[in-house]
Amino acid sequence: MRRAFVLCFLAACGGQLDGTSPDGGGNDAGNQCNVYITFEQPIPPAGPGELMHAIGNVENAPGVLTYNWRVIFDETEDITPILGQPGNITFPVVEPGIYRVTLRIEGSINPCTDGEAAETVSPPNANMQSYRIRVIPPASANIPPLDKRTTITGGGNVERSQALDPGIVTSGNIGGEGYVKLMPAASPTAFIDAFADGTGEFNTRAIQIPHDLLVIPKSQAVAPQKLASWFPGDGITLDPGTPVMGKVLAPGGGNLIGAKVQLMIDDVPSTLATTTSTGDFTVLVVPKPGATIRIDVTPPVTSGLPRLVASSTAFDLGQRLDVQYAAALGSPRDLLNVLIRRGAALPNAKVSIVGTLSASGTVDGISATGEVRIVTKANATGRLPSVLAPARALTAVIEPSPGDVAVTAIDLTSAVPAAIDAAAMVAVSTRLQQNASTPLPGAQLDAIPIGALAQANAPTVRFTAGTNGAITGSLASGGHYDLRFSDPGARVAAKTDDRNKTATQIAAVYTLPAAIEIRGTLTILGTSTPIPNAAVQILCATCTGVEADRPIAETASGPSGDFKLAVPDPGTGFTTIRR
Amino acid sequence: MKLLVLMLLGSLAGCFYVESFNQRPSVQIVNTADDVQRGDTVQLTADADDPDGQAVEFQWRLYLCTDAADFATCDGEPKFSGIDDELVFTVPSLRENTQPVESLLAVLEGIDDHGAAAKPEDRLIIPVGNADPTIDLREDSRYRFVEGTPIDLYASYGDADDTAAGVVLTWEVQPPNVTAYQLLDLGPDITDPDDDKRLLDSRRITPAIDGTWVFKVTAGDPLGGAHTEDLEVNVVPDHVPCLDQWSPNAPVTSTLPVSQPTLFQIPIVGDDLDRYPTIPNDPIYGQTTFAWSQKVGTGPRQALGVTANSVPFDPAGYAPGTIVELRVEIFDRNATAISCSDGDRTCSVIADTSCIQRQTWHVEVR
Repeated sequence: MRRAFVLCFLAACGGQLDGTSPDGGGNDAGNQCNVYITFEQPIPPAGPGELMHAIGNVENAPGVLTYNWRVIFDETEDITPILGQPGNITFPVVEPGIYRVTLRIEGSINPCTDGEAAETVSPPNANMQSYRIRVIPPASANIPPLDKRTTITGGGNVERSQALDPGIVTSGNIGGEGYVKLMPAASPTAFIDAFADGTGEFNTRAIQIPHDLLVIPKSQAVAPQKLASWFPGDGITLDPGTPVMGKVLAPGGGNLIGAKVQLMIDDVPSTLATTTSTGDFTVLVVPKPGATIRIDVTPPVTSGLPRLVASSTAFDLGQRLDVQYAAALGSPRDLLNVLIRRGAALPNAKVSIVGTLSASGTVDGISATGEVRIVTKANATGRLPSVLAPARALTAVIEPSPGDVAVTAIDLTSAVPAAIDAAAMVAVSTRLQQNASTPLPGAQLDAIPIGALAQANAPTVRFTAGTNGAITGSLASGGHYDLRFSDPGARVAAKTDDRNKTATQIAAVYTLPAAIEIRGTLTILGTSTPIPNAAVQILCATCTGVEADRPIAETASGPSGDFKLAVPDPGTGFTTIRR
Repeated sequence: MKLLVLMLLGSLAGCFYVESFNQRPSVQIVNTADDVQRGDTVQLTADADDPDGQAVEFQWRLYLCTDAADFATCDGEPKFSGIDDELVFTVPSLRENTQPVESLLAVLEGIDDHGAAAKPEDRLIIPVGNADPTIDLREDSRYRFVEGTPIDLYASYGDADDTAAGVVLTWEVQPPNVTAYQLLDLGPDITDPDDDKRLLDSRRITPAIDGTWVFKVTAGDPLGGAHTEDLEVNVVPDHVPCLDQWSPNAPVTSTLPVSQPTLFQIPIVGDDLDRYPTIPNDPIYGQTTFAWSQKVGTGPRQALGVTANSVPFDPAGYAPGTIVELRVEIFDRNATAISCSDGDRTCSVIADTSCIQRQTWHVEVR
């Protein structure tokens, strides 16, 4: 059994000056001595007979010094170091995980705070997995967020302490009220939202590195735009924008009046325009050669037309953009008096008519997709009011009451059905476990709507496992969901790869993956000051959209800035190919 | 006087020789100790006076008694003895019959060189006082002393002149107001880990109301010694939850343009019992309840039915330029109603306006 072991060395002279690259545990200068620990590289893999070498660096410590070392494995087990030269130790790293080394100096005339550093030791052939680690400090800390990629190795816990740059107070002026998104060029996901007041001034705190700025003025007289490589403190000059004109024509060729038109050039929106009585519109953009241009036309609700979306790199913004709804859309259907029922009528049921229609129109000859999203509500007798919808195959998502959802296909191509039936929710039953003999009470299953349900903004359904890990509930008949499993108790890791399931495809048992822990401490860069009560999240490194923001694991840092998160263990077993 | 008479008689009757006789010494016990208690070290000194100026040998006997005035209540055999001019001893706690020592009987004899014994011997009754037991109280709470959560109370007790095992504790609870309570005994008393001469009594109470709770603990020993200590525990009410972080971090007075699918989330809620993220694997700690709603344009506010700490917002579901108010409200287990008007973008149900339970994002779909 490993025992706690404190080593004491006597050094004949006071202090050493060893380099300037601390791994951790530094102290402030002045009358304080500075103690920090470095590890000899490369870090060995974990295994029998493997040894790691730590070096104690002591500065500004006159006196006859005594070195007291302590090595802890995974915060639970003391490791017996092997004696070495004064100021350094060697210790075995048999198991993969986090080895934390503490050095206490006694005998110095100047007071010394303990030096501390931790290192992850991985097993041989450890698999790797990339994530993003995001840290959002509390507002009171006034520190910009951190969001960066990190790669973890499998087989043992991993140390990922973070030092956050406190940044500087910075300001800028965009000439008028508006929104500014400050994105560090090196890590754009660590963005900061800032808002300019009527004078155009915004104030925030940002790291002293180049940022890309997304500026969206409130005024429609200035185009939203992205500015590259802005350095905090630099001036900001906005391009007023280039007008892009066009016309929107309804099926049959008539002018479509009152449609909202917006362009998106890469991820920068244009100003927003509304078509006039002649169907014309003008938006302001800042062109970007080679960019993908997306045009979004939202017709008036009363038109019964779908929203048109088209993307291309070939749109010529120097020419008029002609948007033509397809004649084949024909006349919309009126859903007046359609009965919403589940056996009996469903009074006051919320009904969303959704769908995606191909070839719904063209933009400068390029095919545009039609998106349908009509929200209405049945009356007290369960009948719909007058609402127009495209004469196409669509889907009705019916919510008789909050949490009660049904998905029903409807085809308006030939006629309007007299009634739309809302099937009852489908019972689901499953069990969450760590292994066959270990259930997971308290673990959670989130059924995230996709497809028609997502188009209808149906909410995520969360189930919490009871005793024996059992879950019972119901999901929408005809609905499709991505399943996401998590364990607030951090006994196992999250499981996020079960996608596009219906209620009848829920398995009887789900075994959640074994977890390793990502541990660390948050400090302010250049100091040992901890950052408590910060949100710490592990996110998908390669996801896009909302999935990029959904935490795989999340926690809050403790009073000492420490945090601990459970993530799936990448495991071991990759094969090294030598060339 | 006798000698003088003899001399006078001799002078009258003629001269005759009468040999002188040995006189008895007198002895006295000197005790300078006040307030002797069991466990004390006592020093008794023998004081002798021999009229003949002879040396006196001493013999000490010290008996342990209940009432030294009645020798029947003393141990049959002396506990201590000696022949020096001092007797030093430590007062034991118990007699041979395991009853507490309540008094001592010291007997001192003296004999001079010629064998004359002091008569009478000297006897001294020394009352032995009873030290009161001692108590140290402390409280502990895993849940910050919030009402409705268990509080552990610890009484470390002992008795300097007796064994801790002989001490009896009596607990009295004084709640701040009339309320039912139950003081649970957490099991047999154990040896205090910090002092192996003391015992540790552990109790648990779950106060149903806040305020200052007073716990009076009286320790009594078999001889009637007693000592009472008070412990005041301030039980606090369950605080409402506070939104500690929200993302996007937009000021409530601003309009946030959203052109990409965005996850609106509450990463951290501060609360004494129902924080987010929660403290897992605990029977008391719970989790914040979230209630999300939205208001599209001038339409009515509608509940979204989402109970998680985040909700995805897809701008594609709305016409560009649409203003959507997305709102989240938080509740702990007390479910305190959020009474602010619907038009208030933030809301605090307490006087501390930095602790809010409502956050509203004013979103412009772009």
